[in-house]
Amino acid sequence: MFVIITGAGRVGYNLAKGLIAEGHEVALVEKDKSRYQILADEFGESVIYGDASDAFTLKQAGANRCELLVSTAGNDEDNLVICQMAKIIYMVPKTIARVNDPKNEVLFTKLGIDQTVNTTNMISALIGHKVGTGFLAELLSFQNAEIVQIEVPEGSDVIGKPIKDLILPKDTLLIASIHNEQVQVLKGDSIILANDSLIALTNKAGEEALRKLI
Amino acid sequence: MKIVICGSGKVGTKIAEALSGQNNEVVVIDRDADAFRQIETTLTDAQFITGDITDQDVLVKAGIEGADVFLALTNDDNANIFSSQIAKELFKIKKVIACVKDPVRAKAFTDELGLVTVCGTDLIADQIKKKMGVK
Repeated sequence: MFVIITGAGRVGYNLAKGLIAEGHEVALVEKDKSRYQILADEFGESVIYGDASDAFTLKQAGANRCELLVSTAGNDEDNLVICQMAKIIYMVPKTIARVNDPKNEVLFTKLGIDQTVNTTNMISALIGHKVGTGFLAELLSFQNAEIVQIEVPEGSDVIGKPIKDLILPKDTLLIASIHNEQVQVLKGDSIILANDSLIALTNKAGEEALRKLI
Repeated sequence: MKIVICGSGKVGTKIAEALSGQNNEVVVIDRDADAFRQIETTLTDAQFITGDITDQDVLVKAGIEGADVFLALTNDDNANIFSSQIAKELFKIKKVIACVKDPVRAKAFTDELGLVTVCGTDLIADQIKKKMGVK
Protein backbone atom coordinates (compact mmCIF):
# COMPACT_ATOMS: atom_id res chain seq x y z
CA MET A 1 0.00 0.00 0.00
CA PHE A 2 1.17 3.55 -0.68
CA VAL A 3 0.80 5.70 2.44
CA ILE A 4 1.53 9.40 2.95
CA ILE A 5 2.50 10.34 6.49
CA THR A 6 2.50 14.03 7.34
CA GLY A 7 4.52 15.26 10.30
CA ALA A 8 7.79 13.48 11.00
CA GLY A 9 7.93 13.86 14.76
CA ARG A 10 8.27 10.76 16.93
CA VAL A 11 4.85 9.40 15.90
CA GLY A 12 5.27 9.99 12.17
CA TYR A 13 8.87 8.84 12.11
CA ASN A 14 8.22 5.56 13.89
CA LEU A 15 5.08 4.87 11.87
CA ALA A 16 7.03 5.43 8.64
CA LYS A 17 9.82 3.10 9.74
CA GLY A 18 7.34 0.41 10.72
CA LEU A 19 5.39 0.61 7.46
CA ILE A 20 8.56 0.55 5.34
CA ALA A 21 9.78 -2.50 7.26
CA GLU A 22 6.49 -4.21 6.40
CA GLY A 23 7.09 -3.52 2.72
CA HIS A 24 4.73 -0.57 2.22
CA GLU A 25 5.59 2.43 0.09
CA VAL A 26 5.78 5.54 2.26
CA ALA A 27 6.08 9.28 1.60
CA LEU A 28 6.90 11.23 4.74
CA VAL A 29 6.20 14.98 4.71
CA GLU A 30 8.01 17.33 7.10
CA LYS A 31 7.72 21.12 7.16
CA ASP A 32 10.69 21.85 9.41
CA LYS A 33 13.79 22.21 7.24
CA SER A 34 16.39 21.06 9.76
CA ARG A 35 14.28 18.05 10.76
CA TYR A 36 13.79 17.26 7.06
CA GLN A 37 17.53 17.32 6.41
CA ILE A 38 18.20 14.85 9.22
CA LEU A 39 15.51 12.51 7.90
CA ALA A 40 16.64 12.79 4.27
CA ASP A 41 19.83 10.89 5.17
CA GLU A 42 17.75 7.99 6.42
CA PHE A 43 14.72 7.99 4.13
CA GLY A 44 16.21 9.43 0.92
CA GLU A 45 13.55 10.41 -1.59
CA SER A 46 10.75 9.10 0.60
CA VAL A 47 10.89 12.25 2.71
CA ILE A 48 9.42 15.43 1.24
CA TYR A 49 10.05 18.93 2.52
CA GLY A 50 7.02 21.20 2.75
CA ASP A 51 3.78 22.12 4.45
CA ALA A 52 1.28 19.33 3.80
CA SER A 53 -1.69 21.67 4.05
CA ASP A 54 -0.32 23.21 0.86
CA ALA A 55 -1.81 21.45 -2.19
CA PHE A 56 1.51 21.60 -4.04
CA THR A 57 3.33 19.71 -1.28
CA LEU A 58 0.59 17.07 -1.17
CA LYS A 59 0.95 16.60 -4.92
CA GLN A 60 4.73 16.25 -4.64
CA ALA A 61 4.20 13.57 -2.01
CA GLY A 62 1.98 11.69 -4.46
CA ALA A 63 -1.45 12.43 -2.97
CA ASN A 64 -3.19 11.74 -6.29
CA ARG A 65 -2.24 8.07 -6.11
CA CYS A 66 -2.01 7.35 -2.38
CA GLU A 67 -4.43 4.95 -0.71
CA LEU A 68 -4.09 6.33 2.78
CA LEU A 69 -2.95 9.56 4.39
CA VAL A 70 -2.05 9.69 8.08
CA SER A 71 -1.58 13.11 9.66
CA THR A 72 0.47 12.96 12.84
CA ALA A 73 1.25 16.60 13.70
CA GLY A 74 1.27 17.80 17.26
CA ASN A 75 -1.49 20.34 16.60
CA ASP A 76 -5.03 19.54 15.61
CA GLU A 77 -5.65 22.38 13.18
CA ASP A 78 -2.91 21.10 10.87
CA ASN A 79 -4.10 17.50 11.12
CA LEU A 80 -7.70 18.38 10.29
CA VAL A 81 -6.92 20.73 7.42
CA ILE A 82 -4.34 18.35 5.88
CA CYS A 83 -6.83 15.46 5.90
CA GLN A 84 -9.57 17.67 4.48
CA MET A 85 -7.31 19.02 1.72
CA ALA A 86 -6.26 15.46 0.83
CA LYS A 87 -9.90 14.45 0.52
CA ILE A 88 -11.17 17.57 -1.28
CA ILE A 89 -8.37 18.08 -3.78
CA TYR A 90 -6.87 14.62 -4.31
CA MET A 91 -9.81 12.41 -3.30
CA VAL A 92 -7.57 10.34 -1.06
CA PRO A 93 -9.76 7.32 -0.20
CA LYS A 94 -8.87 7.14 3.46
CA THR A 95 -7.49 9.58 6.01
CA ILE A 96 -6.45 9.02 9.60
CA ALA A 97 -5.77 11.96 11.91
CA ARG A 98 -3.97 12.13 15.20
CA VAL A 99 -6.13 14.06 17.66
CA ASN A 100 -4.12 15.84 20.35
CA ASP A 101 -6.96 17.55 22.21
CA PRO A 102 -9.67 15.00 23.12
CA LYS A 103 -12.33 17.73 22.81
CA ASN A 104 -11.72 17.87 19.06
CA GLU A 105 -12.55 14.28 18.31
CA VAL A 106 -16.24 14.98 17.62
CA LEU A 107 -15.32 17.70 15.13
CA PHE A 108 -12.93 15.43 13.22
CA THR A 109 -15.48 12.64 12.94
CA LYS A 110 -18.22 15.06 11.94
CA LEU A 111 -16.07 16.53 9.19
CA GLY A 112 -15.47 13.20 7.51
CA ILE A 113 -12.05 12.17 8.75
CA ASP A 114 -12.24 8.37 8.45
CA GLN A 115 -10.42 7.51 11.63
CA THR A 116 -8.93 9.36 14.54
CA VAL A 117 -6.25 8.28 16.97
CA ASN A 118 -6.48 10.12 20.23
CA THR A 119 -2.92 10.08 21.52
CA THR A 120 -3.63 12.14 24.64
CA ASN A 121 -6.31 9.71 25.81
CA MET A 122 -4.13 6.73 25.02
CA ILE A 123 -1.24 8.09 27.04
CA SER A 124 -3.59 8.97 29.91
CA ALA A 125 -4.94 5.42 29.77
CA LEU A 126 -1.50 3.87 29.86
CA ILE A 127 -0.48 6.00 32.81
CA GLY A 128 -3.84 5.33 34.49
CA HIS A 129 -3.18 1.63 33.98
CA LYS A 130 0.27 1.88 35.54
CA VAL A 131 -1.03 3.64 38.62
CA GLY A 132 -3.96 1.22 38.77
CA THR A 133 -6.93 3.56 38.72
CA GLY A 134 -10.28 2.62 37.23
CA PHE A 135 -10.03 4.34 33.91
CA LEU A 136 -11.79 4.32 30.57
CA ALA A 137 -9.88 5.33 27.49
CA GLU A 138 -10.81 5.47 23.88
CA LEU A 139 -8.33 3.54 21.79
CA LEU A 140 -9.87 3.99 18.38
CA SER A 141 -12.95 5.65 16.95
CA PHE A 142 -14.64 5.31 13.61
CA GLN A 143 -17.99 6.71 12.44
CA ASN A 144 -20.07 6.56 15.63
CA ALA A 145 -18.39 3.52 17.14
CA GLU A 146 -15.34 3.30 19.31
CA ILE A 147 -13.04 0.74 20.89
CA VAL A 148 -12.36 1.54 24.53
CA GLN A 149 -10.20 0.10 27.26
CA ILE A 150 -11.55 0.08 30.80
CA GLU A 151 -9.86 -1.01 33.98
CA VAL A 152 -11.87 -3.01 36.52
CA PRO A 153 -11.12 -1.43 39.91
CA GLU A 154 -10.97 -3.42 43.17
CA GLY A 155 -14.43 -3.62 44.71
CA SER A 156 -16.32 -3.28 41.43
CA ASP A 157 -19.75 -4.97 41.38
CA VAL A 158 -18.91 -6.87 38.22
CA ILE A 159 -16.00 -8.83 39.73
CA GLY A 160 -16.66 -12.56 39.81
CA LYS A 161 -19.60 -12.35 37.44
CA PRO A 162 -19.79 -14.06 34.06
CA ILE A 163 -20.17 -11.72 31.06
CA LYS A 164 -23.63 -13.07 30.22
CA ASP A 165 -25.01 -11.84 33.58
CA LEU A 166 -24.03 -8.23 32.94
CA ILE A 167 -26.58 -5.76 31.66
CA LEU A 168 -24.45 -3.96 29.09
CA PRO A 169 -25.41 -0.65 27.51
CA LYS A 170 -27.08 -0.80 24.10
CA ASP A 171 -24.76 -1.59 21.18
CA THR A 172 -21.89 -2.46 23.49
CA LEU A 173 -19.82 -5.61 23.32
CA LEU A 174 -17.02 -6.75 25.63
CA ILE A 175 -14.40 -8.18 23.31
CA ALA A 176 -11.36 -9.16 25.32
CA SER A 177 -9.73 -8.87 28.70
CA ILE A 178 -6.08 -8.36 29.53
CA HIS A 179 -4.94 -9.80 32.84
CA ASN A 180 -1.28 -10.01 33.81
CA GLU A 181 -0.43 -9.29 30.19
CA GLN A 182 -2.44 -12.32 29.01
CA VAL A 183 -5.09 -11.51 26.42
CA GLN A 184 -8.29 -13.53 26.59
CA VAL A 185 -11.17 -13.30 24.12
CA LEU A 186 -14.33 -12.96 26.21
CA LYS A 187 -17.24 -15.37 25.91
CA GLY A 188 -20.58 -15.46 27.76
CA ASP A 189 -19.21 -17.57 30.62
CA SER A 190 -15.91 -15.68 31.03
CA ILE A 191 -15.55 -14.33 34.59
CA ILE A 192 -14.42 -10.76 35.23
CA LEU A 193 -11.54 -10.36 37.69
CA ALA A 194 -10.33 -7.36 39.64
CA ASN A 195 -7.66 -5.38 37.75
CA ASP A 196 -8.77 -6.83 34.43
CA SER A 197 -8.34 -4.45 31.58
CA LEU A 198 -11.39 -4.88 29.36
CA ILE A 199 -11.52 -4.02 25.69
CA ALA A 200 -15.01 -3.09 24.50
CA LEU A 201 -16.77 -1.99 21.35
CA THR A 202 -19.27 0.77 22.15
CA ASN A 203 -20.42 4.24 21.17
CA LYS A 204 -20.41 7.68 22.82
CA ALA A 205 -23.66 7.02 24.70
CA GLY A 206 -22.57 3.55 25.80
CA GLU A 207 -19.22 4.78 27.04
CA GLU A 208 -20.66 6.62 30.04
CA ALA A 209 -23.01 3.75 30.96
CA LEU A 210 -20.14 1.30 30.67
CA ARG A 211 -17.99 3.42 32.97
CA LYS A 212 -20.80 3.40 35.57
CA LEU A 213 -21.35 -0.35 35.25
CA ILE A 214 -17.68 -1.28 35.70
CA MET B 1 -25.10 41.64 17.63
CA LYS B 2 -22.61 39.52 19.49
CA ILE B 3 -19.37 39.25 17.51
CA VAL B 4 -16.33 37.07 18.26
CA ILE B 5 -13.14 38.18 16.51
CA CYS B 6 -10.10 35.88 16.46
CA GLY B 7 -6.80 37.70 16.10
CA SER B 8 -5.96 41.25 17.01
CA GLY B 9 -3.56 41.93 14.16
CA LYS B 10 -4.15 44.72 11.67
CA VAL B 11 -7.30 43.22 10.15
CA GLY B 12 -8.80 42.07 13.45
CA THR B 13 -8.20 45.46 15.05
CA LYS B 14 -9.69 47.37 12.15
CA ILE B 15 -12.83 45.23 12.12
CA ALA B 16 -13.15 45.42 15.92
CA GLU B 17 -12.93 49.20 15.77
CA ALA B 18 -15.53 49.37 13.02
CA LEU B 19 -17.98 47.12 14.83
CA SER B 20 -17.65 48.07 18.48
CA GLY B 21 -20.28 50.35 19.90
CA GLN B 22 -23.34 50.47 17.61
CA ASN B 23 -25.15 48.07 19.97
CA ASN B 24 -22.61 45.35 19.19
CA GLU B 25 -20.98 43.20 21.81
CA VAL B 26 -17.43 42.59 20.56
CA VAL B 27 -15.00 40.00 21.98
CA VAL B 28 -11.44 39.80 20.64
CA ILE B 29 -9.28 36.70 21.15
CA ASP B 30 -5.51 36.66 20.72
CA ARG B 31 -2.94 34.22 22.05
CA ASP B 32 -0.58 37.07 22.85
CA ALA B 33 -1.79 39.35 25.68
CA ASP B 34 0.69 42.01 24.53
CA ALA B 35 -1.21 42.28 21.27
CA PHE B 36 -4.07 43.96 23.13
CA ARG B 37 -1.97 46.72 24.64
CA GLN B 38 -2.63 49.14 21.83
CA ILE B 39 -6.27 48.44 20.97
CA GLU B 40 -7.33 48.23 24.61
CA THR B 41 -6.81 51.99 24.83
CA THR B 42 -9.05 52.78 21.86
CA LEU B 43 -11.59 49.99 22.16
CA THR B 44 -12.94 50.61 25.62
CA ASP B 45 -16.20 48.72 25.17
CA ALA B 46 -14.77 45.50 23.72
CA GLN B 47 -13.78 42.45 25.74
CA PHE B 48 -10.33 40.85 25.35
CA ILE B 49 -9.55 37.18 25.91
CA THR B 50 -6.04 35.70 25.83
CA GLY B 51 -5.87 32.19 24.44
CA ASP B 52 -5.53 29.80 21.52
CA ILE B 53 -8.41 30.11 19.04
CA THR B 54 -8.22 26.39 18.26
CA ASP B 55 -9.03 25.52 21.88
CA GLN B 56 -12.77 25.02 22.32
CA ASP B 57 -12.55 26.05 25.99
CA VAL B 58 -11.10 29.41 24.97
CA LEU B 59 -13.88 29.92 22.43
CA VAL B 60 -16.49 29.13 25.08
CA LYS B 61 -14.82 31.56 27.45
CA ALA B 62 -15.06 34.19 24.72
CA GLY B 63 -18.79 33.54 24.53
CA ILE B 64 -19.02 31.64 21.24
CA GLU B 65 -22.24 30.05 22.49
CA GLY B 66 -24.94 32.38 21.29
CA ALA B 67 -22.67 34.58 19.15
CA ASP B 68 -24.18 35.92 15.93
CA VAL B 69 -20.93 36.39 14.05
CA PHE B 70 -17.58 34.58 14.21
CA LEU B 71 -14.58 36.05 12.40
CA ALA B 72 -11.28 34.09 12.17
CA LEU B 73 -8.71 36.71 11.18
CA THR B 74 -5.36 35.48 12.48
CA ASN B 75 -2.26 35.00 10.32
CA ASP B 76 -2.54 31.22 10.53
CA ASP B 77 -4.68 29.75 7.72
CA ASN B 78 -5.15 26.37 9.36
CA ALA B 79 -6.08 27.85 12.74
CA ASN B 80 -8.63 30.10 10.99
CA ILE B 81 -10.15 27.22 9.02
CA PHE B 82 -10.17 24.98 12.09
CA SER B 83 -11.83 27.43 14.48
CA SER B 84 -14.33 28.45 11.79
CA GLN B 85 -15.39 24.85 11.42
CA ILE B 86 -15.79 24.57 15.21
CA ALA B 87 -17.98 27.69 15.11
CA LYS B 88 -20.04 26.47 12.17
CA GLU B 89 -20.38 22.75 12.91
CA LEU B 90 -20.32 22.53 16.70
CA PHE B 91 -21.74 25.89 17.80
CA LYS B 92 -24.00 26.46 14.78
CA ILE B 93 -23.00 30.12 14.35
CA LYS B 94 -24.89 31.51 11.36
CA LYS B 95 -22.29 33.94 10.08
CA VAL B 96 -18.73 32.60 10.03
CA ILE B 97 -15.93 34.16 7.97
CA ALA B 98 -12.33 32.95 7.75
CA CYS B 99 -9.30 34.76 6.35
CA VAL B 100 -7.24 32.29 4.31
CA LYS B 101 -4.06 33.52 2.60
CA ASP B 102 -3.49 30.42 0.47
CA PRO B 103 -5.80 30.78 -2.59
CA VAL B 104 -5.95 27.01 -3.20
CA ARG B 105 -7.01 26.31 0.38
CA ALA B 106 -9.51 29.18 0.34
CA LYS B 107 -11.16 27.88 -2.84
CA ALA B 108 -11.20 24.25 -1.65
CA PHE B 109 -12.96 25.05 1.63
CA THR B 110 -15.36 27.51 -0.02
CA ASP B 111 -16.37 25.27 -2.93
CA GLU B 112 -16.45 21.91 -1.19
CA LEU B 113 -17.36 22.66 2.41
CA GLY B 114 -19.31 25.89 2.10
CA LEU B 115 -17.01 27.90 4.35
CA VAL B 116 -17.11 31.66 3.76
CA THR B 117 -13.50 32.72 3.17
CA VAL B 118 -11.70 35.93 2.31
CA CYS B 119 -8.41 35.43 0.50
CA GLY B 120 -6.10 38.39 1.02
CA THR B 121 -3.65 37.12 -1.59
CA ASP B 122 -6.31 37.09 -4.32
CA LEU B 123 -7.59 40.52 -3.30
CA ILE B 124 -4.13 42.09 -3.34
CA ALA B 125 -3.23 40.46 -6.65
CA ASP B 126 -6.49 41.73 -8.18
CA GLN B 127 -5.82 45.25 -6.92
CA ILE B 128 -2.29 45.26 -8.30
CA LYS B 129 -3.50 44.03 -11.68
CA LYS B 130 -6.24 46.65 -11.68
CA LYS B 131 -3.81 49.46 -10.89
CA MET B 132 -1.48 48.20 -13.61
CA GLY B 133 -4.38 48.26 -16.02
CA VAL B 134 -4.14 44.55 -16.92
CA LYS B 135 -6.90 41.95 -16.68
